[in-house]
Amino acid sequence: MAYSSLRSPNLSPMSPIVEDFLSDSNSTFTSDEPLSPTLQPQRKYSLLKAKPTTQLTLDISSPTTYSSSSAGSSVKSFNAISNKMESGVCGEVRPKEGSVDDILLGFMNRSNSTELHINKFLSTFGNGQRKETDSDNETESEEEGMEQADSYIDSDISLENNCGKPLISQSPDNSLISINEEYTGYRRKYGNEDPQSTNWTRHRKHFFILSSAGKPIYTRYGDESRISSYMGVIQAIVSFFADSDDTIRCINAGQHRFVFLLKGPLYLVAVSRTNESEAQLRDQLNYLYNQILSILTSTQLIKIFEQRINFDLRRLLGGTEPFLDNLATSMSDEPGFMLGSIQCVRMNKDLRDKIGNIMQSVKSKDLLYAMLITNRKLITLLRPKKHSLHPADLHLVFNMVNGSSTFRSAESWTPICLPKFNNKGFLYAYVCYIATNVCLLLISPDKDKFFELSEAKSIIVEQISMNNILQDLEETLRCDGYSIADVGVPGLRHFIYKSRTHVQYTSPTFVEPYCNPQERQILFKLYRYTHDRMHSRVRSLKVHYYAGSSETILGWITSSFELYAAFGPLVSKSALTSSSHALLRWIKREEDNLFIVNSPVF
Amino acid sequence: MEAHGPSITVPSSLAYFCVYNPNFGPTEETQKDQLLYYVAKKTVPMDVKMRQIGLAQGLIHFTRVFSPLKPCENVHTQKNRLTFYEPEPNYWIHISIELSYIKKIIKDKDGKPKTIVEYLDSNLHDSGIKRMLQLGYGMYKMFNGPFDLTVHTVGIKALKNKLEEFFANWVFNWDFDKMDIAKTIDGTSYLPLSSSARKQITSFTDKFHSEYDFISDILILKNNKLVCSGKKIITEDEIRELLRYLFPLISERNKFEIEIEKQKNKEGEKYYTFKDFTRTLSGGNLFAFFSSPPSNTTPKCSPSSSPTNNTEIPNSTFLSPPLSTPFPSLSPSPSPSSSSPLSISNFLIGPQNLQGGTDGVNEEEIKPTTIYLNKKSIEKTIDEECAHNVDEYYLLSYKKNSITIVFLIPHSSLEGSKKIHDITFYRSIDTYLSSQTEDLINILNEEEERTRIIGTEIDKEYRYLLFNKITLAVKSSLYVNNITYPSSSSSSNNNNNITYNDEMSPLKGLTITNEMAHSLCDLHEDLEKFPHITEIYTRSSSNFWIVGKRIDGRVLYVVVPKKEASLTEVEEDVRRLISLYFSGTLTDNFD
Repeated sequence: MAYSSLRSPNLSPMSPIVEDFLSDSNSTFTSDEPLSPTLQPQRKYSLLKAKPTTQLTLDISSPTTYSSSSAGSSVKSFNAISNKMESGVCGEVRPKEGSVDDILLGFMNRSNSTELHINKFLSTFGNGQRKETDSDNETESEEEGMEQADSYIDSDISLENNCGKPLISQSPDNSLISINEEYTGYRRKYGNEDPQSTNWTRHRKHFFILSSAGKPIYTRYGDESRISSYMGVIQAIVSFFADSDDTIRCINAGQHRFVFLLKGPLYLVAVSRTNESEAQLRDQLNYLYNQILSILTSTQLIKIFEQRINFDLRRLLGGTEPFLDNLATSMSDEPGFMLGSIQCVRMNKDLRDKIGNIMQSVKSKDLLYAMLITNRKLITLLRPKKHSLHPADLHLVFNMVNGSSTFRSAESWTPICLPKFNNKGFLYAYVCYIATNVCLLLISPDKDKFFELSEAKSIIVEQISMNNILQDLEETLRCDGYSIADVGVPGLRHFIYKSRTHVQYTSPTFVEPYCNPQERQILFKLYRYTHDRMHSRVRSLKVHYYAGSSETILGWITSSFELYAAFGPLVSKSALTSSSHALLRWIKREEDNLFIVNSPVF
Repeated sequence: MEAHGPSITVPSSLAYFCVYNPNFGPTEETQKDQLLYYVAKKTVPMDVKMRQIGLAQGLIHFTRVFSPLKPCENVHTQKNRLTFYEPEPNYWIHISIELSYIKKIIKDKDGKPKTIVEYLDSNLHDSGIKRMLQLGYGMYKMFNGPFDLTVHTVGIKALKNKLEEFFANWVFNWDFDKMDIAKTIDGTSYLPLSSSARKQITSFTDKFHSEYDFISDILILKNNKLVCSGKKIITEDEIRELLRYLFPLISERNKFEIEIEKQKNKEGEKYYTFKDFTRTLSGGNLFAFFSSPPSNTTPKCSPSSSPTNNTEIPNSTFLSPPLSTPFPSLSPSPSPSSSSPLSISNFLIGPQNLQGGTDGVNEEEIKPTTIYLNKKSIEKTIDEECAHNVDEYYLLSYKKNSITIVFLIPHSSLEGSKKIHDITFYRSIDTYLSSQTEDLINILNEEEERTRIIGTEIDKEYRYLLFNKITLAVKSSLYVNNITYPSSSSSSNNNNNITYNDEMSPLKGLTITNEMAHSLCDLHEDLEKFPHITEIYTRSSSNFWIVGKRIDGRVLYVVVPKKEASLTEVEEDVRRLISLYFSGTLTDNFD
């Protein structure tokens, strides 16, 4: 092991956590929800398994469960962490508080003692910003131009493009390479942006996660270690209100909206100029929080911060940024998050049933859920009679599979916490692609069932390959959904229909005039506005109709469905009404194919 | 979980209100000099005040990082709402409002009673608070001049005093829970005129201008409706601020006139007991017209006023501390002279006693009211003294029956400045107007009668509000059944049938519920935010429809409380309403 070379300053802060967990009598390695729950058993797998994969290697080594890394860098992180543990055991345990910690600590203390200091701190901080303001006056006039360029940021350019690529540092200044790259080889978009620059501040939607002590944990853009001062201010603002037994929820400033979600030791903040409502942004923060829980479980999260309020959680989450990034991007593109439901592949009911039956045949008492998914859409899902799977949990599963390209290359076994199912413990997911775009997930509560589930997969694959079922499935997936022309309703441009009974939604593919990502974003924005108005907590609506310059949008909610439909700007209200009814009739006819109406149970 | 026992609703209330300028106290030692005015529900120690404005500045600095041009406008917390308004560079008006909440006792899963508190964040509209602060500042500025001008001419101390005088009582009477769309929009009601009537009005003002050429502008009001907005020396924005000031005075004077009529009719009573009268006055103050507007079809003039509250006419405005008392002599002398109340002049703002000899009134007693109006952009100069871009005018107002006439005389006019202190000038105006206003009153009564006949039927079905963003003109039937103002039928002769009546309100059966009022605000905020939207139709969970529609630069809001109606039927209804109300001559004056 390259002991010395790994003792880079970036990695050294790892040691305190090891110390903490070792010194704890309920040590990580013996507790039920260990920090790295699969540490021991998985090491065993790697020895037993004939062809250990990258994914497995990583799981063994890293307490951080996931990575989208290339093989080389995961080995590196494996080494790094083993190294940490050794140094921990050897007694080299003194935490080395960086200067940032000191500053923040100092700031915290001051903010708790005299409020005047907050003011002073904020003023000094603000004065620095004032200069920015002046230079920004010029850029503001370019708003229109920027707007377009910016919309790419939230558009659906997949992160995956970046994930698999080997790390090449494009920055002339190597010191800017973030800690993530060092770990995993994952290179973030905009990762090197200077938080003082207008490029950084002008992103349409920022997400920040920080600890209640003000330590940065995650930022969607830029580098966490360079936004400490902002996180300090957020922490100060939050604690100001907390001192008077109040909770800050939202700040409005021009086009910008700042939304706060306080979850015990974690503060989550969205800074957005996307016109999304407070409730919608808070929902998104909840998804991000759940993503963190899926990596750590709430038990661990709370325990870590109970032991050390000032803990730097990045040490545990290192390598998981791709999942948070991917989630952040998906939430801006996919209605499923907003609707709190998931999308199914539209396919022949018989085919779906056949697949379901095959999966059902591998009855195993180790199996909790089994599902077949493709590109964030569900093909079929098997569940125990007593447990359904919450859409929020399903989104996490989708995000996991989607967030890393390594699942495509081999069988994987990974712990995952599904917070709506149980936020205190891990489940274990067997993930394997059985065809190019078809991913099989088998979820077990037992961490030792890798081989059993791998066996089950073999049976499923074998059966599904017979009788052309897989072929039919792939053919269906190749068609990629249905277009609005298939629906055959005059005047209708696009729609989203959510079945409230099945908690699933369906939506046609985008055709003219929504071919490029910007246009889709604009349409999605319109849906989002209607959705927000209709779901107002105190003044919910049954119908919301509005005519804009390029679209007319109808929102219609009943006890069994939610419909969001887009028409041309000049459609008459009677035409719109009759078209909507025609659409509903079509959906009723197609219901069995559009939705999983009866999901098979164990 | 089910409701158990009664629930208690606690209304929103002011936590604190302050005005500060960070430049006045840049160091830690001088920080308290930043504070120009502070008022709070409870006594607050200085360090807490400092903490609050420190936080305010921190929030503004922080939000500037992301939104440099528009920093923090408001903060929503679980229990409070903070709002920030910077009317002049570095001068911040900052208010914190405690949200209203409902306290309920419910049974938890185990059947044990549990108290839950629900804060009603969404019932307090940011647009309403914003308008309230703007209006507050606007009125302050109109009668006191800009903050910065005061600091430069008389110093910070004087500014502090003025702020104290103006805001002291006022802020506590804001009724945050009664902010409806009309208050948020805060437009001006016009009396629609036929073209012949308009000609007559124009000839009246032309004649008047030629008689008194130093008077630069004339405004005419019929009850609470603007008839003539003059030569635009005063902007639309300023007109509404001026009207918010005038309405309570008018209402006060009306009430006074009724009392006098009563007294005249009561033969048995030798003299009017002023003691009784004054007792009915609620301890006059400026906020009277913010907490309940006196007399209008736009009862929403103030951010806080309750439209349902009009039965009690706010009076006693003359005691309002913030503004120099316009007619001090209204306070009657204790002498039992029966003529005393009748000696009040027709000047609403101006000397109250025109009687007595030439030397009967000491000229120094005439203290004309000055207002500050924004300079027109063309007149802006780089001149040091004019840096504040305001012009000073003397404000004079004359009321006869349902008509109120407002005069503006520029300070720059030498003749005007001289005359304004001369009692003979007032006498001459009084004489002139007494003879000239009769016709005017008759014309306007006819016009008012004409507009009233239309649409009383349809008003039973719908409520609407039409707003022109450019002229700030507003036309509304939202709260029409709450109107109380002097009947115009009293007019032609100076008869004693000035009454506060309900005869304008045969429109029972449709009340704007709280939910409707809030939904209208939501709709208004949306239309403001998304200029590309041309119309919005919403159907609430309780099945009423609300429509917002842009028509030729104006916005129409309609409430259609028809449970069974479909989208197409509602559209038909709106069409009917538009063709009935908003076509032809009726809108002439509107634009």
